[in-house]
Amino acid sequence: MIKRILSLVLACGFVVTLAACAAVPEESSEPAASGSEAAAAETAAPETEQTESQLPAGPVEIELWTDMTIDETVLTNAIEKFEAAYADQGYTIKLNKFAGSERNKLISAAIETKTLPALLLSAWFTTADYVHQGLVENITDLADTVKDDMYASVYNTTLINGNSYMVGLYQSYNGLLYNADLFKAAGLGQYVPDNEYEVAKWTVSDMENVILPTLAQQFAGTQNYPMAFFAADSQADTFMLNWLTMLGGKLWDNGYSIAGDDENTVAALEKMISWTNAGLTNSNVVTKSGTEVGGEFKNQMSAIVNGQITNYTSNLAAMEKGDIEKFDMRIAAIPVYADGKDTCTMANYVYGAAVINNGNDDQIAVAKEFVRWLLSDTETLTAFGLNALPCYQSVLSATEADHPLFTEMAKMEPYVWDFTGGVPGYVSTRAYLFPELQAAFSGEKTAAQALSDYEANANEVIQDYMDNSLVLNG
Amino acid sequence: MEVFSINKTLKKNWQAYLFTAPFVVLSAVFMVYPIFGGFVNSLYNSKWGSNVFVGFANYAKIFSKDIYLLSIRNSLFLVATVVPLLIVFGLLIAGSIFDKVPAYVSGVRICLYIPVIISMVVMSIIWRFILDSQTGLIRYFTMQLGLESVDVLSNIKWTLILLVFILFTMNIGQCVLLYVADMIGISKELIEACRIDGGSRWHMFRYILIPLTKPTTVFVFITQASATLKTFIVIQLLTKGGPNFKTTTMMFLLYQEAFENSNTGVASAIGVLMFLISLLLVTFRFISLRREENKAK
Repeated sequence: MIKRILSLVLACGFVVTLAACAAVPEESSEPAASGSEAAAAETAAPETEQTESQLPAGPVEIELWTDMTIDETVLTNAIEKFEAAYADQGYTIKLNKFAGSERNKLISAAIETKTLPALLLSAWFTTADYVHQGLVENITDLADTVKDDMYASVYNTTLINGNSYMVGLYQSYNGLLYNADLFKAAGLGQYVPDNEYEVAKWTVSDMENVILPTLAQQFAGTQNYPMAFFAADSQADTFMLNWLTMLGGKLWDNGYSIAGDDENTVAALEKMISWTNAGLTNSNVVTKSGTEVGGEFKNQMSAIVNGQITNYTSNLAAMEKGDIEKFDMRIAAIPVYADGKDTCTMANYVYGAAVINNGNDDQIAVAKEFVRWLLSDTETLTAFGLNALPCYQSVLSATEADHPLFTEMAKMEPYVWDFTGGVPGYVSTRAYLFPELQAAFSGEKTAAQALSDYEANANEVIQDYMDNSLVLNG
Repeated sequence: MEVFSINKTLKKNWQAYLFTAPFVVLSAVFMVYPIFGGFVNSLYNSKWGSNVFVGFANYAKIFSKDIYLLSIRNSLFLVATVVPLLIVFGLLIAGSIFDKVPAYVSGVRICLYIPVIISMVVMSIIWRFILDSQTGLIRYFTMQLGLESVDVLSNIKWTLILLVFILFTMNIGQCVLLYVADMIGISKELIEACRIDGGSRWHMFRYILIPLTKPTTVFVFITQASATLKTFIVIQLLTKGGPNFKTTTMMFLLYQEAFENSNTGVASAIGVLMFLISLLLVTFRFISLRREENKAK
């Protein structure tokens, strides 16, 4: 009898296993389908103010994922305040904070395992990719409640097809961070502004003929280097894109890449390579990542590095805590020489909150309620804004006096550019930029060939997104 | 009649089936099912929110784009170079030390095995520390000697060769250990007979060690071919597949497609191709071994 039972159990086990093997993936995964439906529904009839009776009955726990470079207490305080305000409903939030380099892996794994969070606090340019994949909720109704107070540039950045998919919490300009102590030690004091918050505006000629050669001479015989270039992966790619515009070249036009067709962009890459070959940057550009050069700058192994305001504030905090040795860290813009004139540029990141369509209506409703609450809670909104630059005029006005950096940064607004070109699939185009930069820096291809190949691959990606995007074709 | 015979065999060996059942069930759930699941997944495209059946389009994409073809070429190159090197040097090193005093054999084994027991991540970081052209050890010494720095990690001609060398040093200890264990078990009379007959060290290799360690060679071939085909950590930490995809392997591209680009369909197709390549290599090795055995008979 026992033998028969055992045989039966084993046979059942095999049948179940084989049946599972034959399972075909569902034709339509929940998040995407309902995402496009929800987007369509909301486009047709925007929601009015959500009343408490429409909120789901608790308890409901949602996950908040973020890769923001922000003091964790800002996030935990916001969560605690929200949970206290909705204690009766029993809404709770579980925080998962990770490095930006981990974002794609975690989200991809979550899509596959259907474990997406309901809330994502991240940069717009990466979130936009998920919008096209139908993973982000249309929150135009929420964004419109603060539209008058939000900077138009921030509001417009987060629009796709006229709908808003993120509410901005802070913005951060990306340019250069430099070590003023090393500058002064090298006799470059005249290039350091008196006002410690002023954004230095050097010229391309200054960089090429004075600043970088002088620093290189200062560092001769050591493993330190004047300025960091990196092309190992797409982490912090904005910096290299910034430099590609230093001779007035364009990367995007009319929704497509024109990097290989613009002779000024090609000339900029040639100049970058010549700087590396002349020892004005680190020699290992091909294998260096943006994350590594940040660490080397903090250890004073380089004088100039890529950086945005969030890096500036977090480095200052690290100095205050004693995690790194104190030095006089400043911000500079990327020099540009275009049409016979010297000017400068900085890229702009918008960071904000997006509601993810994870297929759980209750969690989505609570996530939207969190965003609604966040926009109404001045103290929390200000705490986010102070991480870099506020997205709201009211927050800037209230804090400007105590934060002189804001005043100086506001002066840079005319020089800021959209490094994504607003093209669909920008994030995926990056997978082709760095291999081509590697080919150019290692001498395998000329700058023109490398950028031309990048352009062809990037445009293929953009076309794929244009053809398949769930929000452009929904 | 036949059914009766099967029932009889089952009844006779039921304890054996019971003991093997956990392994069979677990491997069915965790190995056979994922293989089938991966194949099914490779026929779909899920990038745009829904699973759309695309037939063999993901495979067609792999065989039509240079990047994927380059990754297949690189993976096969690594298998074709690293595995023979491991077998040849494994045999040579083991054959040179197995009959020495035990303390000496142990010392060599420990030295060669250290890279195997150290985490691949740590080993990769150590190599990076040595080779980095800006902050590395080699750069430091070349600077002290007033020589030019060499950036081997960015050199399109040498990076893949360097990878072969690194994978070789990381895995040779394992092969030597297996061969030494096998050679120590060879009858001393055979080796003595070879010496008495005036055979040289080479004769001992040719007529005793190589033939008698064939099962170990097959094992080394299968395990190392499979491990080399799945090389990932070293590439991720040392070259990130660059410069310009020159060190991108199938496993690295699988990871990129699945976790960076959310193209799980293409990633699954790469996985299926890797499985087929492994299967082909193993089958080829077994067939050639069987032929050699038949010839010997």
